[in-house]
Amino acid sequence: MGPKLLQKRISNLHHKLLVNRIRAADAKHHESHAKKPNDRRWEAQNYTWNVDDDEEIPGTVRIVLSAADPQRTKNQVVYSIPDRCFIPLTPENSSVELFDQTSSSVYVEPTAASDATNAFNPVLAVTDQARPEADLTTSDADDTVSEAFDGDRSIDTTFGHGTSGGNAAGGNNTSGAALDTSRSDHGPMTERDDDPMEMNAGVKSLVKRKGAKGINHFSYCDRATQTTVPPVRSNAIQTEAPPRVSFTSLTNAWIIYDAYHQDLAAQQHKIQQQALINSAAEVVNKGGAPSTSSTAPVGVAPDVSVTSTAAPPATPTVVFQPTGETALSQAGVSRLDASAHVIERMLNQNTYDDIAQDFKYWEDAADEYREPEGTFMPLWRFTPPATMLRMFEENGCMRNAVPSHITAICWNPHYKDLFAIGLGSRDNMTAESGLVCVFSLKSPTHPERSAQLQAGVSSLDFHPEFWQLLAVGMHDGHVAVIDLTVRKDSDTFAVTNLITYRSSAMRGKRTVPITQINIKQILNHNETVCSNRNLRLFSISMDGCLCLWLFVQGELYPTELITLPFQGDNKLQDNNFGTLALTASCSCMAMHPNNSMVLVGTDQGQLWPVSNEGEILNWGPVNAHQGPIYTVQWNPFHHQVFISCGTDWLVKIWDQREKEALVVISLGCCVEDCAFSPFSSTAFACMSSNGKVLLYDLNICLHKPLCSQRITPQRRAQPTVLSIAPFHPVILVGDDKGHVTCLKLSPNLRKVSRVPESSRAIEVEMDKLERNLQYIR
Amino acid sequence: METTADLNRRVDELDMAASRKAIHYYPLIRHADLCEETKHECVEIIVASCEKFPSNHEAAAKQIKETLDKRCGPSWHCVVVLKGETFALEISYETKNIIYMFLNSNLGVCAWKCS
Repeated sequence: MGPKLLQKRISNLHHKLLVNRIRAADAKHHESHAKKPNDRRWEAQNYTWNVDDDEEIPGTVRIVLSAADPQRTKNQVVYSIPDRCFIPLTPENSSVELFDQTSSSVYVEPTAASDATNAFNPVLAVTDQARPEADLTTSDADDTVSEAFDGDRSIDTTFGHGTSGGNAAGGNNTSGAALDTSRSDHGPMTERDDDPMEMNAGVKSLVKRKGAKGINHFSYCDRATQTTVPPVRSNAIQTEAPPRVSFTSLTNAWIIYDAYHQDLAAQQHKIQQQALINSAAEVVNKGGAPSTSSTAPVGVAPDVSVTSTAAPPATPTVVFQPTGETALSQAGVSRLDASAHVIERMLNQNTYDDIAQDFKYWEDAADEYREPEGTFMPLWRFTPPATMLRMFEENGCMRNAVPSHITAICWNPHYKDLFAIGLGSRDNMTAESGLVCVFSLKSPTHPERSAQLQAGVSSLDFHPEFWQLLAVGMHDGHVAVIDLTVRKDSDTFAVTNLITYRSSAMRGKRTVPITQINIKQILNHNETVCSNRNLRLFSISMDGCLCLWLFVQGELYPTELITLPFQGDNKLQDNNFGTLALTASCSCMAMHPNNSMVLVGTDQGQLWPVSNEGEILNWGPVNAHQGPIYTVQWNPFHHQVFISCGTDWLVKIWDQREKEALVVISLGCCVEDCAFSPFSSTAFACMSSNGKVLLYDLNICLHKPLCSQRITPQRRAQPTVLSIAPFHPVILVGDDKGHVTCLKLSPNLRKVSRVPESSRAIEVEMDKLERNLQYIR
Repeated sequence: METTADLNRRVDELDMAASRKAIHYYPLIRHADLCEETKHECVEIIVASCEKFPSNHEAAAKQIKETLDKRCGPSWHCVVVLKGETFALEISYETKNIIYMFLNSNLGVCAWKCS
């Protein structure tokens, strides 16, 4: 079973057949062999049998099948005329082309090293042995294609197909007959161990199998099974792309330079702003120097009010904050409040422009013809906002409505347009809540400040030196001091927190209503300064007690100076059970202009002069009136003259040196209030309960008022309080409906006596009053 | 012939010019939409890188980019340009991921993220 090898030339497409070894038995059965299909091809070739029939066949007969044509003449000659001799003809190509096949199989040329390792490789061995004997293949041995097959075996053809089909897999095996690719055929040999996957590449797999085990590669069977290929699924999730923005910029040296400069400028600007804010805050904190006094008239005057210039000497309360992001922060609210305040004042200035003009400039020309009489001209009417009068909430529960009695009017000693009104009730028991409003003549519609109190207001007084302090006496016995400049940031709009100092029940508040309160000026030349720097209040109450309130360490401490005894028709004093110490009921009080004494009026009609130390002066008491005394007031010029009025329809002017009243004027009805004029020592105003305001001047006429004018409608409202402005020629009249009417005095009502250059005005006024009183005496 | 006033004025002008030429070393953020914390971190990274490679801006940009990639995730891009040079940008970036700042009065740095 010897292998047969067919070598096929590709380059010139000549077929050469080599038969290497044939057994002798095969030679004897030459005919039967020739009948095989493969042998039939050989018969078509020229071949030579070299058989020695004569001799014994030694076992192996060598038969060479040659391509040379034996019948061909080899010694043909041709006569060459130029040479004049015969020359042998070069034999022409005698081969005949019988079969032509284009193949893609490439012969794998083994290397020497692989030859050594594969020593018994039959294919390679045969090839090596056959090569020197196959002389026809010597020139073309390099360019060969090996195609091994066995005629009996189908695997050969299978293998051949595998070879041709493996072109794609075997990277080095390139199809195409014209390609000379055998020189690269060493590649499969070298990478046979590296490339186990290319098993179906025919030649390579052949060589590989040889190299690995040296098995017979023809009997090798390639077995494979094909399973179902799992389908490839592409599984992807698409998410939203991250958002992108385009950005464009240019950078160069001067842009950088400019950017740095802008940044520096911005920083400097910020620093400057901060410095401004700081300095402004410092100014506000330091404020309170009462140097900014304005004598300009109201209405056309520059804005002078509590909010603009007044500041307490004690503590700063308004804090400027740089504007932040939050629009309605606390500072923002206060700023909004301030601007709303300005706008309101502008509106008022426009709305009440005619009244303001009248207030300032209008003089009644008719006064010249009716001298000495004059008139009152109504100007504004001040009313607390209705929202403050109705109900208000305190500690979560609604309090009763504020009674609408105007019980006190007090002008600010510094701000000429500012005054405070207090709302309470004449009926002391029913006044469960009160209200303090501070109005300015510039804005009649809305108070500048307001404070709701837990009890009705009975009395008000501004501090003569610290004019932002307003003392309040209340019906429930409390005394409070309101600092008008305190505005807490947290509740700018809340009005109840204006009270800064307040008496407490623990510290001895009065149990009965305070009827009048008076702040004593702190200057007292006889005592040391240190002991007198405290705030001092004098109060009288319905139990007849005169109290001195000292403001010490944030609290008001009362000191009872004296309790005035009851005098009058005391039936109890005569019974057999001993005496019962009854007390008077104080109703009004007047501080002497030089602060040396207090004049107290009682409901029983007595006037008690009491010194600061609580001793009743020797010229008192004075039985002044038959009923309760409503008002007592010292003359602002003559410090020994005072006026009083009461329910007995009488107004009396007294000299403290006299036991009897100098002037007694009967108005025909209850006199609610009276007041000396600040312009003239002899002029005074009084107000009857039927709504009339009368102004007298002792210098002109004693028996007939210069002006008697009904201010409030008789049946609808009753006037309660009268106050003459210290700086402006106006009178304020409060009634029991919560209205305060401002009246302007006509020129005849505010005549000021001529002051000679040699004397002072006070002396002139004192002389005038003294002269008039002399006539009466 | 210059008067004394003229001389004084010139001196003033020179002083003003000198003051104007003062170099500011603080980093100036020109444009950044990062969150505040990341912005500070980025500024620190950029300043540190530019100080580490004061003359080699390629290396500085590389370090900025790599550091930002580590800190904030890929992929960042960075441009560093020295005084006297100019660069213009027209880029698309993922929002909240850009910082454009100047440094030392002469250095422009832009780093943005776009993956």
